[in-house]
Amino acid sequence: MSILTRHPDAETLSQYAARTLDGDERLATGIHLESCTRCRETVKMLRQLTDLGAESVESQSQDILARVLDARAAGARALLPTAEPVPIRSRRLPLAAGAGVAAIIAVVYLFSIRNASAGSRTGSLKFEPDAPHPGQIVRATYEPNATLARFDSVILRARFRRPVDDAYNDGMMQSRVGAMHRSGGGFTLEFRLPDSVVFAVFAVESPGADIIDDKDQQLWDLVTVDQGGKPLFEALVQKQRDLMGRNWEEGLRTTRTLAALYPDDPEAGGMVPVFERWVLGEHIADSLSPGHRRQFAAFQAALGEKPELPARIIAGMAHFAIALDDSGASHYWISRFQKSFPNDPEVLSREENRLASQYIKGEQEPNGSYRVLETQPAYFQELESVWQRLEPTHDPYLESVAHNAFAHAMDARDTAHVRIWVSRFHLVARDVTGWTSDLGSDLLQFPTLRDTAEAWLRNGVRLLAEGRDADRRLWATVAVQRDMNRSAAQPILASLGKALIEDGHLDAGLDTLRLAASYGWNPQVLRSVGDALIARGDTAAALQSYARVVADPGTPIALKDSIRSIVRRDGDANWERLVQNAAQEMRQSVLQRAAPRSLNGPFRLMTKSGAIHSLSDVVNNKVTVLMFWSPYCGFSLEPLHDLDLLNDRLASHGAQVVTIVDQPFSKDLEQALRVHRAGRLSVFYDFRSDAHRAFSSFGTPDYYVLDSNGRVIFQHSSLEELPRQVAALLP
Amino acid sequence: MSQGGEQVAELIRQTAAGVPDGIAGLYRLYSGHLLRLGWRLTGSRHDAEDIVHDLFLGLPEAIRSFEHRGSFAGWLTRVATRMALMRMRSARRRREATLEDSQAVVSHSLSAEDRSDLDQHIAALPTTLRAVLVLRQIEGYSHEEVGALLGISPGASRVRFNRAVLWLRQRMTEKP
Repeated sequence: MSILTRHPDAETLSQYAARTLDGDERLATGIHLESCTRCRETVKMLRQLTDLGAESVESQSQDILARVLDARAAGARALLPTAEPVPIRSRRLPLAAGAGVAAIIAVVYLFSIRNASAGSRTGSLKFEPDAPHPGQIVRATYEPNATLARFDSVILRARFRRPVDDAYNDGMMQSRVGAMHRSGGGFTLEFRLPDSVVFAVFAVESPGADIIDDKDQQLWDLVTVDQGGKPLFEALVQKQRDLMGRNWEEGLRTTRTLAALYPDDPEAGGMVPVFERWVLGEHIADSLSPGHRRQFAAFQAALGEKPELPARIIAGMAHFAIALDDSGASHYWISRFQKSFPNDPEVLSREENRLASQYIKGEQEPNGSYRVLETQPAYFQELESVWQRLEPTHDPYLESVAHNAFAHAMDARDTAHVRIWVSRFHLVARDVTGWTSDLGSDLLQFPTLRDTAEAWLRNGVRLLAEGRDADRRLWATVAVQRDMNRSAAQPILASLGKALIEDGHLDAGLDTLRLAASYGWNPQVLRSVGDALIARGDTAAALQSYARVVADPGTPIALKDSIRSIVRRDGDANWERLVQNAAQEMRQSVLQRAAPRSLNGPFRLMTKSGAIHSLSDVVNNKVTVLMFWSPYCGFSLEPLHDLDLLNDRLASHGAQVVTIVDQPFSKDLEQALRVHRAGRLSVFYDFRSDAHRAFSSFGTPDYYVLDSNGRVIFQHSSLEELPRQVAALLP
Repeated sequence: MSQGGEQVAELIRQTAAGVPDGIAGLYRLYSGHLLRLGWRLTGSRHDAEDIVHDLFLGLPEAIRSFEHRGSFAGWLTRVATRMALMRMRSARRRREATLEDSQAVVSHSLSAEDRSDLDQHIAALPTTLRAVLVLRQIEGYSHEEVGALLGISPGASRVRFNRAVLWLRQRMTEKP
């Protein structure tokens, strides 16, 4: 007889309730029930349910029978589903021991992909073969959802990933695979998977790209396999990277599958604890770490003394050790990696880090930021040879090395090296348009680089205005992508407009600023437009622009006062009316960007006292600004004081700010709140990572605005947008 | 064959011949159970009545496919279950509409007795969980049979059953 140490499942309790459980299992369950109130209540409930089945109902609707007989007498008949269905065999396969396990997991994994249900709002996209080799011909068949069924043809688009592609999808290109034509009730297309592609995700859209079926944002995917039908290591890595930022839970599942399929590869095993920490939170990840430590110890015992190991294995051991926070082991494996493969891109990237720590001196500011005190020339001199070895690899590490070097040159105000490294970064950056605004604005600070900066800003605007189809996200219609591009172009245009005015080109600068202002409500841009209009002597138009700035609840008081002083000086009897109109205009403009959605799944947050709160407890019928932060993320600490002040202002309007941390309550956390003068903010601990999953939030700080019913209305907002987004939702 | 069995066999024979008394006899014997089953599965009194109406409307023709290898009540229940599931799938009604409908059932109960708390909680279960719970625990189908009826694997049926029981128990313990 076994003693149950955990609650029996519902089926066992059901059989116990029905007295159909046999022998030892019944005895063990009975012993468990003696000490478990919860399971006793479940058994009681199950017996009540069984009793319901014994009840019959005397219908009050005797007229049903009368209607049946009348209808039959009138000749009506009904066809009934009498055919007995064929039982579906379980997908669960018995697991064999040893090497066979991986093969079986591969079968189960691919089987689960093949049978993934898309749901009622989506169509169904299937591939033949559904697990191809790279370079193979694939036949895609799409059975449309209701919105795409009316077209004669639809378009299949894809994001193809090669083994070298990096995590996240910013800057990844999308491809038009081809037109799918009518065939029976659906659409079909044959295409050849490129040789270099190991993983791909797909969406189907109308010919005009105004209707998209993206499988409810999940996208359909294709994982390539080896000759034995096992998913390729690189394919699963690319799937995991593609899922980063869009579906962390599926990313964790993929990582675990990878580790199960490749049990002898430390790279695969080492990814699991990393993903568990990201997805499940510190608390659960810590509870799972002993198993990973045992696995790492086994790898260490098997590989530590082996003289010759491939780069991937050594790098994998280093990554695994880092994931487990094992400083001794990570030092050993990183050193071995450097000695064995001195020209590996990762090794060269670590060399840049080492040079920076050796030759660049700085200090931590009280607010958490880092201030550079000295950059020795040796950093750039020695980095040059590192770059010469790294550049030919075309590896994604090029981007991070070039960006670091550019940032260090900026900090050192070293124009010569800024010129060199910004050019290199521009050549290797994956998401050029995403970087244009920051890079251009940074370069404008260097007089001899202004022409270059302005050329870059123009180029960024041109690319965004052009709106290349390859840059359009798989889930975005042409119209949605255009809006996104306009948002991205606004700060670039604003920088360019101000630069033109500083260069003496007032009219060109004003036109550029006006164009920027037309791309979305932005008080900084509106203020620049007002200033330019004043400079040109057009006071009436300037006042209209200033009224928009004053109407924005996020505008600092000092700025509002300075604008009012201009108004008093130049005089305008209609000022109050202008501000009222501007407030209405702002509300409309802000609500145009609203994207309401409800949150799914459990939502449990812990207070400092250990109480568990649900979403409705947290929102408490108030319009709510919700911020994700971490006491160990400097970027998320900086805005805490502003949020504290915002919370004060919102309180009188029946709105609030609520913050969520990814760490348990601790002295560090209390200290962070004190230092950043945010002690009055509501703080909740996302102890189960429920909130991170529900919001799909990654990285901190991350802001959301919820209406009083707890629906997300604005997501991934900027700090500056929050006051006007809240204002737009208040009655 | 028992006396009751002989009576049912006679009613089946009459129904197959389209005799109204045979249909009425089977209706009196089974409609109560079928109404409750349909109502529990769909969460809607009106749907349950429609299912029973359509079932008895088509019964004289359909009954010819009953091969007398199992109980007639079991066969009838399986047909009614399939009709309820087809209705649930094809209607695709929004959850709000279903809940509203189920509240109407509360105030206009099928039987004279008041609907129990348990019934209300069953009606509030998500559709996919409700179907498994009703078929497995109340109707007594095995997971293989539930899986066949719902078009899912027995394993999936077992998982959904576990979730349904957990969900239901949580709601039951939350009640004031």
